[in-house]
Amino acid sequence: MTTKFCANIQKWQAQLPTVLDILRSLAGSTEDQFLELGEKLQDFSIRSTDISATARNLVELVAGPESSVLEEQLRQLFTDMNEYLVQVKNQGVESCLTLEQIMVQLDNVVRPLEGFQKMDKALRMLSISTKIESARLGELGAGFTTLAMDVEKLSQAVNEKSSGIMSQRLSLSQLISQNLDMVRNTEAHQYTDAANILTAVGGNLETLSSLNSSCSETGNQVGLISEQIVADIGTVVSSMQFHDITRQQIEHVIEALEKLQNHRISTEQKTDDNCQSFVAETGDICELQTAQMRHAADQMTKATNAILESLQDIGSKQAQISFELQQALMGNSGSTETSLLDTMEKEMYQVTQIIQRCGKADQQLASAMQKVTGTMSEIGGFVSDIEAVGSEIDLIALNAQIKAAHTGTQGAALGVLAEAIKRLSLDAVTQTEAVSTTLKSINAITANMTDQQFLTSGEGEHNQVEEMEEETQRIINALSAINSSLLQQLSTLANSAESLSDDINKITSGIHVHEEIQKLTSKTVDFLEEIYTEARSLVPASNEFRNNLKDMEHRYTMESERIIHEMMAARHGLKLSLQKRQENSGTVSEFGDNVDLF
Amino acid sequence: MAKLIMTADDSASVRQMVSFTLKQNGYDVVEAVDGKDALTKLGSQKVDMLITDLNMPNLDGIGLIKGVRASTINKFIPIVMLTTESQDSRKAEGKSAGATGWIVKPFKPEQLIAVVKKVLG
Repeated sequence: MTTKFCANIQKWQAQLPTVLDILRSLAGSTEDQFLELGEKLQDFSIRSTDISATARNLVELVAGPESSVLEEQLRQLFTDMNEYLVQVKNQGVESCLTLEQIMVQLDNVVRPLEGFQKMDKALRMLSISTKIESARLGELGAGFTTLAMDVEKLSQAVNEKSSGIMSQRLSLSQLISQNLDMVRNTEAHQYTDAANILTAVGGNLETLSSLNSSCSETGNQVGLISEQIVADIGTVVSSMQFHDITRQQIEHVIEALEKLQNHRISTEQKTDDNCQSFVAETGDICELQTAQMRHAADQMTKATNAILESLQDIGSKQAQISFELQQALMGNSGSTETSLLDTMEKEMYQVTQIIQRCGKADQQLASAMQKVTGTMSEIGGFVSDIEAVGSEIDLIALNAQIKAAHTGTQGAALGVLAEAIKRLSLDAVTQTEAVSTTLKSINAITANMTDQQFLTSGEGEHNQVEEMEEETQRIINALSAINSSLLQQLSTLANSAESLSDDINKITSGIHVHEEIQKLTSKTVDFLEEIYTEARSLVPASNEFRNNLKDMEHRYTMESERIIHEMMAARHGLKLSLQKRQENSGTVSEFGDNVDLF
Repeated sequence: MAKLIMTADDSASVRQMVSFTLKQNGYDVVEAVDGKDALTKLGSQKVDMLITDLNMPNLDGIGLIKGVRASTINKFIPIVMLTTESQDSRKAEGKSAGATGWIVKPFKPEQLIAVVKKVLG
């Protein structure tokens, strides 16, 4: 038996240097890899912080106070534009009605004016006939020459005034026709287009409003994700320290095994008892160090896995932030070319263009209506003249009748002429009344027009359109600035998140340090396990081991090492003081159970 | 001006994580590779706080604390031990040497920052 014990001791002592070499290489070889990983973590953390800041900026840009004020102003402008268009449209309809009424009245003037032209011809004929009859009577008809000249002058006056009215009527009629076409055209196209675009703007305003709400929600989401990222970085920082912790644990295993290796039995001391005792001690130490090594390797693997998972989580969470903002701001199109703000900017520009055209049409109409009233006032002057012509004809007829009566029977023919002039004067009164009545009707219509806003408010409306244009331009500029910043930041966000995610994946896929540690640890554990299994088969664990465990308890500086030690002790039926102390201690500092402030 | 904190640890990766955590939170950091290095630097540089490991070559954490408390320019700064050791006896030893607090590794960044804020006032 002694030979067997001693032979095994010799064999194990020959194996121990190999195990120690592996452990020493494990304890010091991985620092550079962890330092490099630490540098990457700092880089990832800075980039991640930048991405989170960009995401917050984006949310602020779309759902912040500046955007809310802009949305409110846009809503007000939208209301103003709608009201303006309704007002202009109503004025257009009223103007059309007025112009159509004037057109009807202008048509009514034609017939009496044609009567005036017939009267002109009759007066000229009467003038000639009076001259002939006056010549025939010689001395007796001398007074009729003056009468003939008066009648001729009257015919010229009638011709002049009626032609003037006809000409004014014609130009008025043309002006009204043109404006009616213009108003109808504006009504048919501009108002309809403007109404359609304003409806779209209204719809987009609601979308903008819901976008702001969803963006605020996304902002909260971004905040939560950012907190999770901070937690991930915290996990990496904590896990990175396990490199140092594991190194110290391995160093403690090395110390224990070095002690075993240095425990040599001289040839003289190789007694049965000594060798048996040494086998037991070897079993004790190797069993304990196997457990410590296993735990250290597991702890290191867990920490490295936590580092990998947390880093990957940071990458995927930043990609998630980018995706969610992209979805919230750009919808499902995924396009960074167009956005709602972009669409609204274009729509507002179109509405402004239409309102400008409507404003011009409105001004044109107001100016035309002013021309109509001006022309009507001129025509009014002609009517007075024609009424004066009627009175003059009447006087001339009376004068002719008196002269014809003075002339006696020889002036009978002149009496007939005087009768004819008298009839013409009656006709003139009738025609004048007809023209006058019609023109008065038109005057009444135009007088009504002057009461309406469009003749007097043309300038005011022009200012209103200018104000709306300026406000639209201001809002478009603000929208454009927001939109441009939005697209730029979204693009930066997407690129940064993608690049961070790619770099994290590249780095994490290249981390194999834990696999190397695990591989070397397994080799060590296999060696130690083999030794302690053989040792235990030769000499089972004894009371002495339990005593050793009790003594060794104080050698361990780390809580985790002591826990392993305790577990081993418990496996051998021994309850150590640490367990008792843990059961008794329940106080945890406000900073955590690993922090004490004195 | 940002507060200056020294981290003394023979593990470069631990110094790296302490520095990273502190810098992220707006502190300036000066590093020392062991107790002796720390004491030399602290002889000529005023810092606002010291965070030190316990087991270091050349001069350990307890020796460093005693040295700092015996010095002039950093005599009264808060000193927090950051170590894997958690025995009460060691904590008592640190406290008696003049440590302000004791953090057992691994620390969480928010824990370290909370402690720093607390001891810096």
